[in-house]
Amino acid sequence: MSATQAIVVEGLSKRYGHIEAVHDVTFEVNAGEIFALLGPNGAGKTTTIEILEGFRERDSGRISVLGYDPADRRTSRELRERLGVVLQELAVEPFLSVQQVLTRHAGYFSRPLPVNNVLEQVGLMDKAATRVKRLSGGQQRRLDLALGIIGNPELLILDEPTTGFDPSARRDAWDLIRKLTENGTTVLLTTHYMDEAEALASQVAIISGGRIVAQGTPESIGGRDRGACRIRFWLPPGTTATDLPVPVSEGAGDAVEITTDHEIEVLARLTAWALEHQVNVIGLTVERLTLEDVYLRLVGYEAGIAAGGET
Amino acid sequence: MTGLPTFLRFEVLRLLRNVRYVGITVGFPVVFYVLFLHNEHPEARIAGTTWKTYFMVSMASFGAMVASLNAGGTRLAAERASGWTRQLRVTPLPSWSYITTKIATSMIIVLPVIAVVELTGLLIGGVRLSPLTWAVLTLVLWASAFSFASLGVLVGYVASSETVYPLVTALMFLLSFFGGLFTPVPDLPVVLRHAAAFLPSYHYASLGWAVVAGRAPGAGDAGVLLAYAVVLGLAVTWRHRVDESRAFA
Repeated sequence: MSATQAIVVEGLSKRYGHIEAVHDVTFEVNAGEIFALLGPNGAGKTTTIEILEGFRERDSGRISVLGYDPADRRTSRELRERLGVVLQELAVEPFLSVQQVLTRHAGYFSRPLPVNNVLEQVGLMDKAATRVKRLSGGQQRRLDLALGIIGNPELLILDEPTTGFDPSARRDAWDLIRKLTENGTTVLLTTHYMDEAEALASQVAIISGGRIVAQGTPESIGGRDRGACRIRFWLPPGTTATDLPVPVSEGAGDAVEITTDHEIEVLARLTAWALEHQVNVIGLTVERLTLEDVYLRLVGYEAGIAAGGET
Repeated sequence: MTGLPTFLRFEVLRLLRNVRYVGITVGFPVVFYVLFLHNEHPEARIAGTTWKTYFMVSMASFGAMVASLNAGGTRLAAERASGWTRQLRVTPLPSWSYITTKIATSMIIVLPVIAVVELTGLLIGGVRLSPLTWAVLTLVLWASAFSFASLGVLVGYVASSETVYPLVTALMFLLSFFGGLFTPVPDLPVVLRHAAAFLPSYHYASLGWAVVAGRAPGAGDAGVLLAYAVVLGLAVTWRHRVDESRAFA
């Protein structure tokens, strides 16, 4: 463990009865980066971050969060001083104002940020005296973020920060999260939105059925940088898919789709076959896989396992 | 300890802002005192004092009990349901301070409730006591409200946000009626007279009844309340541990 890593997780496993929520999960989060844990509901995202927060105990594996073992009760207080957590659903406080809720929360930490600075940062300065229950949904989530950062954390954990947002509120939240990292805060977030991971994160791990199925930068994950391509065309009249010299990934009627990491080879064999048989390959397109394609390819076949339920 | 004073301050503030809570805890005992004061002759002798004085102690006890059960029970169950306790557990606030703050909040709220009922006794009921007796009565009722504060917190841990209201209401009626707070224990049916001896509410009010009758508070009453406080305190600690280690799959 070096000082440049905010989180190290090695071989993390956790079972609930006979359900294996997380299995042999390994990843590292560098200090100062935004790391996204991307996966469908019930994939094990929340369980993983709850273990990192020290809220839940693990069955096995080695974990370091800011140099601490979150399961070690002797240091849990120190860790929590340096950790900010924003949960999926936060309690709506009906009787206190925005400023009072923040002041109260600041009181839990030994070195909190000034309340007004945080209000300014999340854009709630003009709502300081408003009762929390009178805030709009978007404003309440800003307050959630404010509660997450009031303790001046080195690491901020966000559990599905924009679930339930309308598109413009999501953009605002993204800008806010990016702004927070400008002063060096490390961010670990979970999401089931591909575009969110792509827009925010410098590193992404895709988790499905409790396992990490791919990991890397959003640009390279799942082989996006080395070729993973989709080739599409229409079957030449009078031929069937079995006549083709290459295996077909998907076909509906005359439409053919081939997903491959070796597009040059596939194209060479396909075009050679077309020339030899004097047929025309109509509507030939070659495109790089999107993050969504990679994601669906990786989590799709694990969907059955993932149906274990959100934990 | 850094979080404790701020936490406590806002806990009390948010409780006082809850109009319904303040209305019930202060309003009920005051209204009941005024309503039932003339059920007997206010000057009628009972247990070494007058009915107006005796019943003021009963209603102060009732108020202290209702305030504690609601401050601890209702709030805590709602906070557990809303995920607020979950949020607190990822802050540096030590988990025991959550409970101690709840009990402290309860104790802070109970004092003005007792004072308001005493004031009603003084102004409307015409209760006359020496300054020392007023002071001792207030202190005794306030200090021994600790048992109810623990009971309130325990209810908050045991009940869900849906069951907490019926549970608090049931406890409120059980403890106040069977504890002799509305009908003096000697006037209760014989079965209930024996039941009262087991209830903290009866022993709690008995401490106050002794003070206004010029007697020393009974050691037996204090002992029973202390035993309740210890048992409830242990139960709260146990429930807190269970709540903390629970894995909600």
